[in-house]
Amino acid sequence: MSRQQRPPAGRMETARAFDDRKDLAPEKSHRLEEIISSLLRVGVLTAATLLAAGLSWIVFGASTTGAGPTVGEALAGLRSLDPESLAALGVIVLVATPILQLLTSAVLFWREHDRLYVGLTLVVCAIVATGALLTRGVA
Amino acid sequence: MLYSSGFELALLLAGIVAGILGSLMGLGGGVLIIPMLTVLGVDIHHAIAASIIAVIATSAGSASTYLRQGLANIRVGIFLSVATTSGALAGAVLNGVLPARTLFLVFSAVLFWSGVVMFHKRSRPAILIEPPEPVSDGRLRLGGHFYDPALERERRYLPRRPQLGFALMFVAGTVSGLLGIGSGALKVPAMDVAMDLPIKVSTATSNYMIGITALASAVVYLLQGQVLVLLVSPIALGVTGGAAIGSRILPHLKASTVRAWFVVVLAVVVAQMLFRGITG
Repeated sequence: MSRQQRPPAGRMETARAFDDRKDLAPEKSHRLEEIISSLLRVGVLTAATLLAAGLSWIVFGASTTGAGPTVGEALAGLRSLDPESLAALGVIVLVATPILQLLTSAVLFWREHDRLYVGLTLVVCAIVATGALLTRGVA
Repeated sequence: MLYSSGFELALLLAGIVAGILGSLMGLGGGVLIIPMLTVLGVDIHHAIAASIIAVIATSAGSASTYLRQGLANIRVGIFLSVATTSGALAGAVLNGVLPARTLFLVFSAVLFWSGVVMFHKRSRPAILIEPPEPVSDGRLRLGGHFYDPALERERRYLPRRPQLGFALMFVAGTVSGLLGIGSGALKVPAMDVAMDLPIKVSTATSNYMIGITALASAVVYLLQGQVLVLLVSPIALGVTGGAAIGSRILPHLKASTVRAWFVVVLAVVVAQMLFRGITG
């Protein structure tokens, strides 16, 4: 997001007005929050669109019996673009969103020269990755 | 189990309710979703997997709005996430070492105590804990401010005792890793009681954090093939809608109202934990 672009929300304007009064650093921090907020919004809206498309197709179209496919199984049908694969893709987008959130935070902290928080964000990423690998090994 | 349109609609509605409450209270909603799904006849493992995905939807959906409103504090969130994620890892490693029944009883007592503290704080005027204008918040830069429409003015805040908050978050992470219970119910009291953050900042920042905490489990459940498309889709969709509604309501609520509701939620969690502690 470039500096010239103004967020559409009215609430952000209030926060900005407050920042303009204080000629300190918070301006930068607020941009960090705006960018992460936009990223989360895009992730959630994309996921919701895919889920809604897949789901309405399933509900108004063919009925499924039994336990239905898992996300992995449904993704196999992505080439033929069946409704279940669309919904499964929505789930993947949803799970990818916090991953992108963390990585983007690290980049933004780096651009703010906030090394402490670049470090802390990367530590969180490392712990989450270890957790996923470790529990998979145990289970 | 048969997936009918009616069943999918029921899941969608359950998701909306869980999303609204989750985003208001800083919970993932697992506390609500898992019991609702098991009542509907869903297998517990599939219910847990679906609820973890829903937690991410609640978190991402409401954190997006809370960041824009200045309610969720990214630095507090990242700082405390180091504690919760490493705690969860420790919990996963310790799983089976410590008796779960004892833990359920101990933590229902801890949560009961937090509930009492939070209930008492309800009547404390917010102005007393507001820092003076020049906020010096040290190396961690955890302080912040937000516009409170309920008070019709800006509120500044500076967390107290970040070390204690960090330690409690580690414990909260360990407990959620060990017991598989919603960590939001533990995160909010830790921020509220130990760090004296404004209640709305606590629930909003908890929302920002729960998606990160849930991430590792979500990846594992996906890889293990526990996430059923027809089960998770309507819930995740409903939760997304619910979170969008809840996160727009929160700024306009009085802090005391949020506190009172949270105490009710704590009571439900304590009851669940006591039940599992007693029955095993």
